[in-house]
Amino acid sequence: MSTCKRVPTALEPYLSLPPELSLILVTGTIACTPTWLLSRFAGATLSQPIDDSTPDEGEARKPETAVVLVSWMRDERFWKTEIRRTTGLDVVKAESQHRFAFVDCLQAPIPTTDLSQQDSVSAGTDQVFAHINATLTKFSSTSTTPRRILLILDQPDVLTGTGTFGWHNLHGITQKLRKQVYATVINCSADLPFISVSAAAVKDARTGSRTATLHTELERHTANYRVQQAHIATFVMACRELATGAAKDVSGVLRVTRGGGIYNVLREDPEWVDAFKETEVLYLVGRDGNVKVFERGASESG
Amino acid sequence: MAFRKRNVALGGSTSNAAAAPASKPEGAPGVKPSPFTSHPVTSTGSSSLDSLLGGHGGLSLGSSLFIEESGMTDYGGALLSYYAAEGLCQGHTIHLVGMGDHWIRELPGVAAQKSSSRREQSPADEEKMKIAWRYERLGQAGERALPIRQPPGQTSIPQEEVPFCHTFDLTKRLTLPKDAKINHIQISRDAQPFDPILQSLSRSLSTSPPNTIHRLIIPSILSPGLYPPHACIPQNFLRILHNLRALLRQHHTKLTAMLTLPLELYPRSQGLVRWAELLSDGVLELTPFPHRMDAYTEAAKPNEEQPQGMVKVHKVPIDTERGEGGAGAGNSMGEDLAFTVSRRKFAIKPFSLPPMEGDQEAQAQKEGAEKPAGNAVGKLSGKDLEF
Repeated sequence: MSTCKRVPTALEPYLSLPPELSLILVTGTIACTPTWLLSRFAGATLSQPIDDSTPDEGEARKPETAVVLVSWMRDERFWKTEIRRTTGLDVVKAESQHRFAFVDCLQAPIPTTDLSQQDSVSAGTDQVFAHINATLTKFSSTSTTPRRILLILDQPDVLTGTGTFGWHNLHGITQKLRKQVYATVINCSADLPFISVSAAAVKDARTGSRTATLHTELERHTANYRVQQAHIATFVMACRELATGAAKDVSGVLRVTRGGGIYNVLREDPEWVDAFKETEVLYLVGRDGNVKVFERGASESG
Repeated sequence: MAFRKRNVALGGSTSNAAAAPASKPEGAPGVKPSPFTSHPVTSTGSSSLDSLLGGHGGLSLGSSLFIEESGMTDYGGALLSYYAAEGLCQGHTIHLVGMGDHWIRELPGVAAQKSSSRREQSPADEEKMKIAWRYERLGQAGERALPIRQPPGQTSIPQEEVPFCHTFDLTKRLTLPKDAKINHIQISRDAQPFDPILQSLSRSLSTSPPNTIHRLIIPSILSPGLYPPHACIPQNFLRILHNLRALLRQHHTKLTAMLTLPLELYPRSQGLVRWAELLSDGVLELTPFPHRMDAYTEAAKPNEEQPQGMVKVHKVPIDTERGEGGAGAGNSMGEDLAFTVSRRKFAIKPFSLPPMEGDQEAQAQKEGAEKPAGNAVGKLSGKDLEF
């Protein structure tokens, strides 16, 4: 099946490779897992044809695209099947061409840290960074052509969830990783318990109450990391449930908004920013892996 | 719709399922491929729970089910005991955490075969008359997605000697097979209370023959009666769930897990519980009706099975992971489901107002439906519930 058929036209502008050093924040909730979106990011990036022709004299070779997928939540088997199933892309072939690599952070042991000890935390962050960076450096050294690597981080917030790091430690790791690649996609969960603490903090600042302190350390760290990423993201794609309850013909709501980081892009690439549209659509993920995206009230259409 | 097409294709060419990578555990007892995705699935011991899990007809191997329950009841424990009893009947290895031998001894026994198939049949037919037509096609919640399981008695039982899902009788006690493989895991009282679970589990997984199926059962996780207070810090609780998830994925052809959590101490609005839900594959919430606690004594008409609580499906294995949110094909998310525990079954059905035959007062009240339902005494009324 052709790849272009699998990507809904309404989503194409968001899935194509963003400006350099962009950060795209993808959020989901318990019932609306955005794995379908992540596999399409991988699919859209990998489906760009490789330029096999030898470049003319003096002409730079067109950079090829590659994907490094790091997952704390799901295993390699899931992702490979999922990308193949939803985008029709041959992941094994892409892997042998060194265009796709997977870093398993689910099976790899999470470092044991003591949050009160600075040394143990920094040793832990080094360990996590080194684990991912090993693949990244090996990956970029295998090719002589310039390449644009899209780094996809699937739920790094597991590290704050398991109490391994504080949000600022995790932010440090992701920032360091972002510098190694062309662009980054981060997937976090944005369920109400993780968001309510930020809302409470805003309310506290206004009213002078102290409700945010009622929230646990875990909630605060998870919320802070997410809010921080939203502030530096170029744009945010948020999947959530329908407010009116689960419906048979709607999987969820996808909202695309500008992030705080779009102003950095504005200097470099104002046209891209002009063309960028904020939107809110409904989507339906079929059992066969196809996605339909449609406006509220409109009937389903490709 | 998409799912129908898929069904037809699968039904037409059964070779599809056989050729799939699922063929490896095919020989294992109590395992069959899912009609949709050919993932190998195993029964939870309760056929209506099986049919709720996204239309796969059971709990897919390599996934976990997290059952939350509010109130002081232990209906979740009933589900766990079915799950354990089913495993023992199929010759699976049972790993039981934090419970003594008495828990195993009190497992429900298999209901007598003959009477069960006959009795299953007749109330089901009766039910059809009662349930409004729009519910009829739903059958047992989610069964519309299971064309293969439609003819129950005739096809499945004569074919295999051991059925995929047994019917258990809560009044009987399970006679343990001689070769029953039960691994009791004790919770340690030191700094890492969960460590023995994974150690013991992975040791057993690596030493057992490749086609044995393992079931991990963790009753009332974090309950202060069983666990030390520091068990609930994220470094302990969420880390074990993350590690368990890794282990499940690693042994995706032989391990399943079922956990229950008392919501009274750990409400769903907490980040801790939400993380636990995110790290599990299936999430079910049981909300017993407080005023149905006396259902046993009140049941003058034994055929009239009043629901004892509501069931909410927050997440189903495989499907939610793929992003199929909403109430998709064969998944019962967002539906109003109610459960009824009787001697012979844990039935989960779409919730509807029960027929109120003979109850003049309630009927009169129903006719004047606009009246506020302040005095709906005893009888279950939809207005009491928040949808």
